[in-house]
Amino acid sequence: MLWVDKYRPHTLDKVMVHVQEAQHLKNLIAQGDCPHLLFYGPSGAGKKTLIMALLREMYGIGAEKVKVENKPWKVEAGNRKLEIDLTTVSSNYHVEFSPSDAGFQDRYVVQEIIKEMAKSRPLDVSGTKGFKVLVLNEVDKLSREAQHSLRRTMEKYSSACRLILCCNSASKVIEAIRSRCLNIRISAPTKEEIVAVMQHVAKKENLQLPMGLAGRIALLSNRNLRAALLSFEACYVQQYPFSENQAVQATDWEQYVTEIANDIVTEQSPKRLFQVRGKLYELLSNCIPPEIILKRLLVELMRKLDSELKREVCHWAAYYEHRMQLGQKAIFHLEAFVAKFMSIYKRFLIATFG
Amino acid sequence: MEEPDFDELTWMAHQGMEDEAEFGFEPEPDDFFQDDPREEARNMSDSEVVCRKRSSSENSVKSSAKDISPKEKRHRALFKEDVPSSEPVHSLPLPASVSAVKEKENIVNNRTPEYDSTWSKKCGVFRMANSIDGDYITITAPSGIRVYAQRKQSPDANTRSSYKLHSSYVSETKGLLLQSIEEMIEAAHQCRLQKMFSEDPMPADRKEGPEVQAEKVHEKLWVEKYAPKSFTELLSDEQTNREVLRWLKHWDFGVFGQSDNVPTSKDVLAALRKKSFSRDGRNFQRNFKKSHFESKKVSTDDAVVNSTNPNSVKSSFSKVYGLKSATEDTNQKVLLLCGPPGLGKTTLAHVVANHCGYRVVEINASDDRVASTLQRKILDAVQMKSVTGDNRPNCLIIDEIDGAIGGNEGRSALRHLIEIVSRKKKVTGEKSTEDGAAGKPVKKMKASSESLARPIICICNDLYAPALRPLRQVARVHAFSKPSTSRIVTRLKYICEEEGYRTSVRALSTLAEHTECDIRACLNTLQFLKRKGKHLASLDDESLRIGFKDMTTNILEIWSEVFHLRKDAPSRLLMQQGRTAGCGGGQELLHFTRLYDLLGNHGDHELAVEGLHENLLHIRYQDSSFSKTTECLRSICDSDIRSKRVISKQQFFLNAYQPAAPITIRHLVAGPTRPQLQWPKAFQRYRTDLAMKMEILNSWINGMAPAISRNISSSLLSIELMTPLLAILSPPLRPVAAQLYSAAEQESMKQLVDTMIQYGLTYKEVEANNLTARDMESKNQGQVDIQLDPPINRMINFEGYKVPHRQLSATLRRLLGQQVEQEKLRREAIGVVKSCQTMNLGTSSQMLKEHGKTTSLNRHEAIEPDHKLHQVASDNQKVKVTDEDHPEVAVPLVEAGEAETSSLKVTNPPKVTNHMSFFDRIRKGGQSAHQNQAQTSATSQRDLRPLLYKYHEGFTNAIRRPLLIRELL
Repeated sequence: MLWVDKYRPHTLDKVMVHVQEAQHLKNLIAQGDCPHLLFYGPSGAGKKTLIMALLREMYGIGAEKVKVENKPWKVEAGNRKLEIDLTTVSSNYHVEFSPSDAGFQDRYVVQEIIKEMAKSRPLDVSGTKGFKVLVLNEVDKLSREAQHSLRRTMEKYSSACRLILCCNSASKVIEAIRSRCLNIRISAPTKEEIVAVMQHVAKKENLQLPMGLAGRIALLSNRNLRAALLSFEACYVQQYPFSENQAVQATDWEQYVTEIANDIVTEQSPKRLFQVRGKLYELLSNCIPPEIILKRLLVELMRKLDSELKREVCHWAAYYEHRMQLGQKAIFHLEAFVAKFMSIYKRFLIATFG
Repeated sequence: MEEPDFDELTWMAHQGMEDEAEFGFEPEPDDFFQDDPREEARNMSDSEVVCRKRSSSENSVKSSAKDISPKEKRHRALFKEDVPSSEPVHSLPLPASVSAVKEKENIVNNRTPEYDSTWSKKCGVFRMANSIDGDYITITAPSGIRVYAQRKQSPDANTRSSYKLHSSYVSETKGLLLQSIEEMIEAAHQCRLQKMFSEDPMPADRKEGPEVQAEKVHEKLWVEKYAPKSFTELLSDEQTNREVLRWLKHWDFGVFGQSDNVPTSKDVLAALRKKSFSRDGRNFQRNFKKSHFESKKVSTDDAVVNSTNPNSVKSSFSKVYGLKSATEDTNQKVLLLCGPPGLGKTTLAHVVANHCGYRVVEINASDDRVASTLQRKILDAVQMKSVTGDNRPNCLIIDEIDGAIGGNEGRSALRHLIEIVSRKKKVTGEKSTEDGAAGKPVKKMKASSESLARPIICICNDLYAPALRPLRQVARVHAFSKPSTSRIVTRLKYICEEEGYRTSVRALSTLAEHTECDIRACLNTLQFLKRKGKHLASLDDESLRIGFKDMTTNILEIWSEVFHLRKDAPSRLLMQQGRTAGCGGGQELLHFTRLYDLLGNHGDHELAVEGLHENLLHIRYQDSSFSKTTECLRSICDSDIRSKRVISKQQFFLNAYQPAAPITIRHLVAGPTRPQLQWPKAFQRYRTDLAMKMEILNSWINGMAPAISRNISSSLLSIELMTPLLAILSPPLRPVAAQLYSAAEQESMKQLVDTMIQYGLTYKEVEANNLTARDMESKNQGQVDIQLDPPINRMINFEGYKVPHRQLSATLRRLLGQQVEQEKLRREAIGVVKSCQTMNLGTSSQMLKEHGKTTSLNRHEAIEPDHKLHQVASDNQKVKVTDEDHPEVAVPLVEAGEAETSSLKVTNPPKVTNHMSFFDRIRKGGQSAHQNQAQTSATSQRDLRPLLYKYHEGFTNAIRRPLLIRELL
């Protein structure tokens, strides 16, 4: 088992980061009931960990006995019948799934399946709680229509079920839903917290973790606890005992983006742009989301830039990122940003060196 | 209302009626009412007329009877009211300076019902005095309505053309304004226009004299008039012409040869034709002409031919017979001509068919194309003979075959056609009997099976229309290419000369290019221009636009249109004109419209933009600051955003703006060199790649343990998890046999296997040819390779990127794969046990104790997944079996515990005999496994488990009765 999973806290008492939030949650459900919850925060901050600890707090250890089910749901939408494949993870007390998996049919998932689930009382009659919990992941990826159809469901079936929504960005969740939930922001852990967690893990594993290395891992992880623990373990597997200045590997796609940034800075020509396009395609086809590519690329480019250009480049990155959200073919927009950068940089070079 | 007489207008023009203010209003309305024959057309009663006469004859100002209300009805009513009081109620005379317009309007009101209320403003008559500044006159209608008319101070500067009437003349002709002023203005305009137009053609017309007059009566379209009537006149590509002719000639034997039962003159003739055709390319046209002529009256001419070429006849005769089999063999019974409209496909087909002595039966898009109708028609055409005395055999021409064959019925019609064609070849005998009744007139032809066959020529515009796919396979296809411009121009020139229409070669070639060498369009344009009286030589770009052809273009052409700045004649011409006109954008405008139209006609904007994106960076253009490229890409992005909106929000009107991107790009980067264009594949490739990788990720995540997969989404896998996981999965283990590892190494191996299972990974043998080329590079040679399954390591194989991870050696991978499989099986079994245990957690111990007999068992904490459960069998058989067994066997390992720690009593399996055989089996299997097994590493483990048993799931010879693990415990 990876350390990430092995040392994941299972109860609200054991959490090491977001102790405050955990305590609040504990108090919240101490009364025996809880409102709908909306957890939001960056990836690797501990949302899911908290949710699972919360479920365990609510229902006891039975909530951890989960099974995965992948079955097609038959949905009647108007006069046609749809079949939607949905993977659910469920215990006796709760069901969790990502309605956005259904793509453009997410509306039906919300309208039919969630309603269906919400209607029925929990199977476990001996359970003290009178409600079951639906955990919906990636709510921010739901379409507007789906979110709107969620509103009524949340109110109507609140006697039998509670929704726990989980997403990265609350701004993409419609106001109506946010107002129906208790919003809990899970911030990314600080570098110190990450180091503390890593030291905790090292202690459990009987390892000596130099502070310098821990600091660097934490820094590279971008305040993502999961990433930090994973790369910590990767370091351990590659070389133990640790040395203070051991290399910490960035993820492969990040290194690839660094290569792209180098390409862009060394030469600005249509030919080079074409090569960059090929590499961008390569990243995209390996399931790296375009927004993340653009962001990373900007970070990499920033390192190589003169400070007077930074503001402008940031502006254009934001501009093209926004347009990327409006459009549908990310490659156009990524490439347009690269071209824009090339143009700015070339102009700068000409102005500086003649 | 009718237009004014020409004379009247000219007269007015002569009078120079410009100044409306001096309009005198002494006209004698009674006279002009009488003059006007149109008056009768109105349904005015006599009394009304009389009334008017009276009122006007008294020279009481007509305006006195005027009502402001512009409605005619009301006006008439007023007049009627006027009748009894012969004296006008108020004879307020209007001074001459009162707006003459008003006066006229009054009349207009009398006569034109369509005149509307705005006139009152125009002529300055208002209901309220204070809405007039300056002098005004009060006018009271008989009904008591009072209005105020504005006095005009100066001669009216109104731009509406007006007419000055001399009072003297007015009094002479008595009644002038038969029509409203509006009409007259319009008439004047038209008159002017007519004059303008008639100026030019006049001399030309006169030159032609009576001929033109005759032509005016029934002028034929030039397209028809000058349609090629013989083979030599054909304008289309010579090569194609010949090919078509040759194809049709192949039928000669079948059609003409057998029509007379004796293969005499016609065969000879055909042979002759063939011979001359193949022998002498230059001669053939002449010969064909001859033969065409001859084929109609063979009997008379063949003697002549025979006599002229007595030597060649025999040899060619045999050739014909040799050819016969060839004709039979060829399955190209249908000729498919395709090409853009107006190149002369239909003409060619007709001319060639006539030329070869066939009677043309045409089916075109306007005819019914239902399958049954078509079938009947085709059968008629190929089997019947005209009774009208035309003895020529039929040649079926199906025109515009792609046009109407879009729907289902069209498709079935086409299917029938193909059926007929193929059936003709094979089951001709059956058909002849089947159509025996219908085929009476062609009895003679039915002598042999071939005689039923008649050539069919199909004509289409789009060869690659999906509906035509089946036809393409059976037909002989001829694609029409554009005839050369010079050929067209020569022909056009000839026609123009015939018609006495002056042109220049340059203008004609411009025209030809603009119409994409569409002869029909050229001729129509020319005829139109001639009628219009314009000279082609003096064309400006406006009239040239007539010549533009609205056509759907291949997307590749659009792309090349964008990137390639053609330096062709029309653009030069227009550039000059643009310069002379002082507006430099002439050429740009022309290309703008052209490109806009092309894109609009094509319609697939997304594809267009994709192609531009794909090819943009290979185009050479001057761009030192990189701004052009940026701009191009930006407009591509714009277009992308628009198309997203079109799709997601159904805002289809945005499609109108979609050509903006290509036009911008053209403006920026178009160059004189013709680019090498490529079909956009990258995006499609990316899409399929992405789908494949997503599939891998999804299947991976589904294979994971639920405790892990619930924490992870597929996007996180690729972003965060992949790299460290792959690093963790390749620890620096020595590539030696598993037994040689130290304790620490074994521990890490165990960990590794555990991790792999948790994450649903394993190493599997992959056929080398299943790997992609890229994988092959990085992999060692050998047909079978061991790869991660699911193949997640492919996800980081970026092109041009060297994966920094250590790759485990092949032996290690193999070892790991085996270990993982074993561990998985073990866990599955434990899982069964565990689930039983958890189910019976509370009650099982009690229940089992009741059953407790001889077997004692030590149950460790079963929730711990790595734990092994051993069991001591009741009959004390000490069979030692390691856990390395055949993989297909599920091996529940129940650890036998020491008797003192045993806490649970487990029942004996009820049937001891079964039990015995069961263990016997195991011993055998275990021993064989034993031999294969390397001893060293296993020994310690094995010693921990003194006894094991296994069972075949589902095999009743092992266990004859359903047996739950729980009963054993």
